[in-house]
Amino acid sequence: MKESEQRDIFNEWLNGYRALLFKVIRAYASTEEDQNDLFQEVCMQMYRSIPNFKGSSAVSTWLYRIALNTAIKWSTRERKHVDSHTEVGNMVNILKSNDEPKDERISWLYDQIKQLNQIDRSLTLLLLDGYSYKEMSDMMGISESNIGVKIHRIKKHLVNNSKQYEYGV
Amino acid sequence: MEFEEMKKVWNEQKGETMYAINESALHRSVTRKKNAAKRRINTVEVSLMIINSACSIFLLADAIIDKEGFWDYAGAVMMALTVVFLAFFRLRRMRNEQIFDRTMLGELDHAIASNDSIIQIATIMIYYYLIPVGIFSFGKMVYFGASLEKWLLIIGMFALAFFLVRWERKVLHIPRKRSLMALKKKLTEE
Repeated sequence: MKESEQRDIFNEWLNGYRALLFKVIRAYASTEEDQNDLFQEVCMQMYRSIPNFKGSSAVSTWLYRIALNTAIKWSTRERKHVDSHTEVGNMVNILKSNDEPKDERISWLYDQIKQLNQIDRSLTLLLLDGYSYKEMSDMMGISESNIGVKIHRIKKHLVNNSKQYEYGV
Repeated sequence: MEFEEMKKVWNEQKGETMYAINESALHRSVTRKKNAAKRRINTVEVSLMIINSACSIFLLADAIIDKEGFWDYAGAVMMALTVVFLAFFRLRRMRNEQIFDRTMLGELDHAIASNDSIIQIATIMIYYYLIPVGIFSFGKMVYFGASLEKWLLIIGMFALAFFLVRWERKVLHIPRKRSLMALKKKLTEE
């Protein structure tokens, strides 16, 4: 595949699926530096994966798989803020958080997702975005019944915490 | 709030406006990161290959110049075989890196397996390679009475290889394996 072709597909995916990428970034990284770092890492993997994409799954499923796998591996690193090969002076803010008014409940939901372990975070994102147990099982590589057990636990946890949130409000 | 309501709230968010992207900086960064990742992985592998190749050439040259025969040739072959082994391992790793359609469990298993083979190679390098080759080389130098420069050069090369491998194993791969195993447990347990 030609470099220019790869770059065009990268731009197309970046523009068409940025919401998906942003959700993963926000669920896995808290500080601005971490969000920038993870976003760049996800973009790099997305770019590298382009020649391997054969269209056997939807682009959104492919990108979710790449973004989640990257985010999970990224989260196992001990030092996240600054890449050891990135000079502090070279740090560029690729992502800038928008100051638009937000539904408080969305911020609450993200806070709750961030408190889950890395695996449950992925499942929650997929669940909220409407993926079926079968699709999640294919993406995660574990049985549908295992997915079911985890989802049941996650839902219970979120609903219980929402009660505290509502009383708090 | 019931879960269905959370789903509604989730679907109402305008994800695409969550952040603004500096696209030109992103393109520069993706290229830079791609090259940096390649460099980072290459450093240890290529350093070890260069060190072993240099040792092999040095021993071969010594054998030809001094006509000391069997021992130098054997040492050179031993070093050259190590370079072949490292090159094979490197090619296998690079081929595996190009797979992107793994499941999350597959990706974790692959990361653990890659990590395991790196740890294994590091262990082999330390115990089964450096020690016998070290004994062989130093024994030979004592037997033939090597010059001080030769002693310093050989000791320096062994020390460098030893510390590079040990550092890589202890600081990078063993802690990474632990966290990957913990993740796998979280993924597979019910």
